[in-house]
Amino acid sequence: MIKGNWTRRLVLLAGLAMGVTALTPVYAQDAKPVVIASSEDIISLDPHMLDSNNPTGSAIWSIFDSLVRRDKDGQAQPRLATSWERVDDLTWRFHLREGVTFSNGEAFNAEAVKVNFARMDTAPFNSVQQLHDQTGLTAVNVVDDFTLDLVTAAPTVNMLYWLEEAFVAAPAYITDTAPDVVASAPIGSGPYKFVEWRRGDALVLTASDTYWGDAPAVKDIIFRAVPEMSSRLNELAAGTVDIVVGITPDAAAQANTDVSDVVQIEGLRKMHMGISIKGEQPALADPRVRQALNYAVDVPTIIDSLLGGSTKPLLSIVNPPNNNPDLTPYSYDPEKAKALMAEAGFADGFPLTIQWSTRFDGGKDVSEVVGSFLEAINIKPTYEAVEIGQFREALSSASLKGIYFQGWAALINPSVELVILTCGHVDNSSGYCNPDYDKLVIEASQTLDDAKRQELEYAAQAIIWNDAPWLYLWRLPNIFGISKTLSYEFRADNYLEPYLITYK
Amino acid sequence: MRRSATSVFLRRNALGLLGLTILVIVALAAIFAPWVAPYGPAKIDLMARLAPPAWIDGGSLKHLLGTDNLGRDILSRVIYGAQISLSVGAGAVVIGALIGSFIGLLSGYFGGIVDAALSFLVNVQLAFPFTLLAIFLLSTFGGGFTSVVVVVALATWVNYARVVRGQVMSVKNQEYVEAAKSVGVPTDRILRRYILPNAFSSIIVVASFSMAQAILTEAALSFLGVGIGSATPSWGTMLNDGRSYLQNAWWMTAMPGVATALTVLAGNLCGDWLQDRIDPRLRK
Repeated sequence: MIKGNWTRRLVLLAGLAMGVTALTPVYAQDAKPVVIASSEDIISLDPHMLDSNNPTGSAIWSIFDSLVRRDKDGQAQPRLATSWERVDDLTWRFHLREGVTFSNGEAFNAEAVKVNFARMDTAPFNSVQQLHDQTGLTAVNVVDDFTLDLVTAAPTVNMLYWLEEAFVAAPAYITDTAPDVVASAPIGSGPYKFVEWRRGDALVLTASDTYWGDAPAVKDIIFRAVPEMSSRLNELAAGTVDIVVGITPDAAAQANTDVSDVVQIEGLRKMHMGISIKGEQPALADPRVRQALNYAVDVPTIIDSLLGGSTKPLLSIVNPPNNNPDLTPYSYDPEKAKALMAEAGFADGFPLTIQWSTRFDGGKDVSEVVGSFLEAINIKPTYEAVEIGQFREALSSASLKGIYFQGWAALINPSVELVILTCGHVDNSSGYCNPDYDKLVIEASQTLDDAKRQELEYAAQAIIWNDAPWLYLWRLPNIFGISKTLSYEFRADNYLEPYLITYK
Repeated sequence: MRRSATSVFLRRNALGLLGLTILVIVALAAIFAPWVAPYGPAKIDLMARLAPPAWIDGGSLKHLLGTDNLGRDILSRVIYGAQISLSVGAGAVVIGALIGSFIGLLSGYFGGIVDAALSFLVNVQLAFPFTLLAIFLLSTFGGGFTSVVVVVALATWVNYARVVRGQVMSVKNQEYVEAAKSVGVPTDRILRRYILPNAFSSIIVVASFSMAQAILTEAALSFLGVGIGSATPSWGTMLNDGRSYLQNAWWMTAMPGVATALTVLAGNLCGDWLQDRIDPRLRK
C-alpha cells in the first residue's frame, strides 16, 4: 500500500516536472537565434552582385570575406589579406592569410582571389562590381600561393575601398555552378554559413565551423524582411525580433520597451530627391530649374518638424570632413526660386511626378511635404509610390519619372562619393552627365598627392552643387531598436555585422 | 389623428430615415466641401503636426478633429474624402447595375445555353478572391479614379445579375409576356417594356447595399495602397497614413474610420428600409 503510494507520487512528480519543462523555452540563452528585421529582403546572395548595404550587404559580409574590410570608422582592417604595401605607383602587393578554407572544404589561396576577380570583370557582374572600373585594375599576378600583386593602369587612391567590396567565394564552386544557384546557395569563408533562404521572408545563417577567426557569440542569425515599420516595432516589443533596422524619428520612442532599447547614431546616407534629367519632364534638364527646386524647399523646417531635429541638411554630396567648406546649403528662398523658374521660361510651372519606394520609411511624407513646397512655385505635383523592385530597376536604368526620394553613399570616401554622379555610373539614377566633372573626379582618384587631390575634389563638389542633379535634403537619421539582452555598436553606414553582436 | 399617423410613420421608418439623413449630410458635405471644409485637404502645416482633437488637452478649435503627421486638418480631409468615397460608390453602383442587370436580363430571359454561359461567368467571378483580383488589376493597369471605379464595380455586378435573373425568370412565362410575344412585339422591346420594370425595385435595393459595399471596398483598396493617388484624401488612404501613428495620434485613424463606418451603416440602413418598403417579394 505504502509502496504503491510512493510509485504514484513519483509518477505524479515526474509528470509535473515534464510539464514544467515543456512550458519553459527549450533554448538556452545563447542558442536562441538573433532575428534582424529590415524593411526589405535580401536581393541576391551572389557576392559579386552586391549593391545594397543592408540587409543584402550585411548578409554577404557574414558569409564572405574580402581581402580587407572597413571597420565602423572607415579604416581598412585585414581579413583575407594580413598585410599589404605599395611596390610602386602602379603595383599593390597583398600577403594573404594562410590556413583559410571555404565552408565546402575548398582551400583559399592567391589563385582563388584571381578566379573571383576575373569573374567580377565579366557580365553581368561588371555592371555592379566596380573594382576594375574604379581602380583601373589591369592585372592580377599570383606571386606565390599567398602573395598577390594587383597592377593598375594609373595610380589609384581607391584600391582598398573597392577591395572591401570585392568578395572571395569558393573558386571551384562559382566556376562550376550555375549563377542562379550561386546566388541562392552561397559558399564563402566568413564567420557564418548559409542555411536557408525563403525569398520575401527570411534568410537563415549559422556559425561556420570552418571559420578562420574567433567563433561569433551568436550562433544562429535570421535576417527577416518586414516591410512595415509598425510591424517591425510590434515584433520588437513582443520579443519575436531582436534588432530592428529603419525607424523614423516619430516612432523612435516606440522602440523603447520593457525588452528593447532605441539606439540613435549619426547617419551617413545622403538623402535627396533625385532629379530625373532624362525623365518625362524636359524642364528638369535646365540647371536653373533644378536650382529653383532647391531654393523652393525649406529643408531646415522639415528637419525640425518631420524629423524631430534628428539630423542636419547636406553640405555637399561629400560627407564631412571631406566636404568643400565653401559650399553652403541652398537657402529657403521661394522668390529666388520663382525668378529662376521665370528665367528658364517656366514661370507658370509644369506638372511633376514625385516618386518613392518603401525602402526608406517616411518616403511618402517627405514626398508630400516637398511637393507642397513646390506648389508654391507653380509646380503641379502628382504622387506615386513605386514597388521596391521596380524602383531599383528604374534607379539603375535612370528611368524614374520626375523627382524621387532616394539616398546614396553611406560612407566617408570623397573619391567614391563623387564617382556616383559621373556619366553612366550604375548609381547615377538622375542621368546627370558632365564631362568636366568626370574629368576632375577621375583625375582626383589618380592623384596620390593629398593636397592636390583635395583641390580637385573640392572643384568637383562645387560643380555638382551648382548643377544640382539632386534636390539636396539631409543625412538619413540612423535609428535602430535592439533587444536588451544583446549588445552591439551600430555603424553609421547601415551595414550590420552579426558576428560582432554579443550577449550582455 | 394626424399626429399619431406621423409618429407611427416615424417609428416604423426611424432607422431608414436615420440612414437617409446621414447619407444626405455626407453627400452635402462632399458637394459643398470647398465651402464647408476649414482648410484645403492637402494644406500642410509642419508647425501644427499631430495636434489632437479640440476636446482633448492640447487641442484647439483651429483643428476640430486634430491634424495628421504633416499638420493637415483631419476634419477637412474627412470632408474632402467623402467626395472620393461617394463618387466611387455612385460610379461603381451605376456601372455595376448596368452590367449586372444586362447580364441578368439576358441570362434569365433566354435560358438554356446563354443562361449556362452567363451563370458560369457569375460563378467564376464569385469564386475569385476579390481583393486579389483588385490588387492584380490595379497594379497592372495603374490606380486612379476611373480604374478604381471599374474595379469596385466588378465587385458588385454579380449581385445585380443574380437578382435580376431570378426576377426575369419568374415573370417571363406570365400571360402578358406571352401575349406580347404572340402579337409580334420585338424581343428587345419585350425586355425593356414588359420584363425589366419588374426588376427595378430589386435593382434599387441591391444598389443601396452595393453603395455601402463599394465605399468599403474603395477604402480597403486605398488602405492597401492600390487605390486612387496618395495625395487624394480618401478615407482608406487616411487610415493607412494613421496606422504608424496609432500609439501617439489615434485620431488620425479614428476619424476617417468613424466616417467610413457611419456612411456604410447609413447605406445599409437605407438598403434594409428600401427592401422592406418596395421589394415586392417582401411586401405583404
